[in-house]
Amino acid sequence: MQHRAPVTNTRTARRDGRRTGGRLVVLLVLALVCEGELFAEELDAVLDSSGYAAEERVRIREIHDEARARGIPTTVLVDRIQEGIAKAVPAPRLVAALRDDVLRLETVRSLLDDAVAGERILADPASWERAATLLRAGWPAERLMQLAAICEPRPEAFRAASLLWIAIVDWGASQESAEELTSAAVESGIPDESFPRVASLLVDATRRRVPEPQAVRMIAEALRDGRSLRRIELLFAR
Amino acid sequence: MRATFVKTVTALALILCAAIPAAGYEPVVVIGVRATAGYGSAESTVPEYSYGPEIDVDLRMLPGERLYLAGWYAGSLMVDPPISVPRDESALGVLTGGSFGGLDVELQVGVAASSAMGDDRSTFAPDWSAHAVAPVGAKSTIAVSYSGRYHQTSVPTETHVQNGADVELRWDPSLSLGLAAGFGARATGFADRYAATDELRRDLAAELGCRAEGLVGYFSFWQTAAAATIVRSNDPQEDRSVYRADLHLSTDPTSALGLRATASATASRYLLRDALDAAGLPLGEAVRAVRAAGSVDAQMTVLPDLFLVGDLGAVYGWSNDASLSGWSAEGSLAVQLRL
Repeated sequence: MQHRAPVTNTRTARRDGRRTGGRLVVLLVLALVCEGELFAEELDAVLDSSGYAAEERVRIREIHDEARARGIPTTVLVDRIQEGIAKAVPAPRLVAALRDDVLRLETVRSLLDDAVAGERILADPASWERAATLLRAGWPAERLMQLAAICEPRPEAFRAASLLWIAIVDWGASQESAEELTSAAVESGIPDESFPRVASLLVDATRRRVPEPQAVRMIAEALRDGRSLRRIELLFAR
Repeated sequence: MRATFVKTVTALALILCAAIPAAGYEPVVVIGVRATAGYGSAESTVPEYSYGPEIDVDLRMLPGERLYLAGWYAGSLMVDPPISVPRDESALGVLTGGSFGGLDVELQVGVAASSAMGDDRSTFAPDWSAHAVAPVGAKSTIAVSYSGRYHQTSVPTETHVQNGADVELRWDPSLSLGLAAGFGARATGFADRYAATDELRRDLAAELGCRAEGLVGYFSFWQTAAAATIVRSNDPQEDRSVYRADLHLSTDPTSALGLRATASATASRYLLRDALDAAGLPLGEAVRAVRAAGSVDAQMTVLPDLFLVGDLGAVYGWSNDASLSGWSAEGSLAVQLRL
């Protein structure tokens, strides 16, 4: 049997909830500040051990700090700096590469700001960086927008969807096939980590000599019908 | 007779599917020319070879949300000098399934038939199965299945019916690694083979097995499996234990190239069957046999609808029974055109 909570208790609980929520926000802000400080300290330590001249270290630091101030995720920049130092890349080249990265991340933001679900994709720094990597790899802006639109039902699947798309094209299928299969995978509700099995289905179909457009249609329809991957595999079994 | 019936049904289904594309996907029709060559310790001193045209027709349909229908026909006319041997195989299968409160259920019925004019080895084999999979935790499943088949051949002593059940526990921590272990039991009854007691022969087999498999990247796959089987029969000569290990590797680095390799080893130990020497005289010890087999095959897409297929396989057997020792190797090369 369920008992109704007394009004006073409910109010107290709400007040406590607001307090708890407030504390959580404060803690989150503190955590972010601390993390920023930690990154800043780590970056200083990394730069100090780089062997670059003082003014070069300052220029690198400035690019990093400006990016952060403009709300651009900086983990990709820190990775680039560490990679540059490890490979003993001359400072001017590293600075140029960092500026390219910042420009690309800003381009992605301006592109995705206009895209369906773009805001939700940008909310995840890993997806944002992934989109920048795609542009760097030569993806046209229109295709990036297509992918963002495909991921509208599940923006968190952006990274896995982009990996699937690229794998299918690298394997030798057309951009249209990759788009259709990626779209069906996102819509199907299968977990992101199972996306590689969609590419395997295309391989199974090819082994059975099913023409690519027909194979893509079969797999996409079966995925959208909610059939399990195991059952779709049976489509191409003998 | 039944084989002819199955072929007629398959052909009708194919025609139906071709005539009403809306009912299913377009059948995939591949024609080709194949040449094979084989040699072995039991063959004559010259390699045996054959060549001839082949045809392969596949159809697949998803007629309803929970129904899946598939059929295929493969025929060839192998010229095996100095005679020509038409061979063909066909199969039809229907599968249905659904999810009921987390339980994934599949029911399947099918029939396969094959014939090779000349060696009188036609087969007719209907099969049926029921398969249920339930989740056990986030990344594990338990599967229970029942399967059966009736295998009729033109050699009456080989005609049998088999029924079996399996339980398998599976754990998939990731796509690159899946582990499974299970056990099963199978009963086989022969229609026209008798044990020493003049009863029809009946075998019971119990199997314990495990398997590991995974994807490497997006387009490569590996699988390894091991199993131990104990067979008990009302014909004591057939009592034996069998241990088997398999390895399968496949990779399709591009859409134009697919490579596969398999290897297996099987060790059999009979309890009572006497090993015989080359002259057919008993050696006074039970049969022990080890069989190792391996094969590789490659598929290349030369043009969008033109394929080159090649395979090589070899089997080697060691045994204290002369009839189980020996080796053989076979290779084939085919050019196929998708219509």
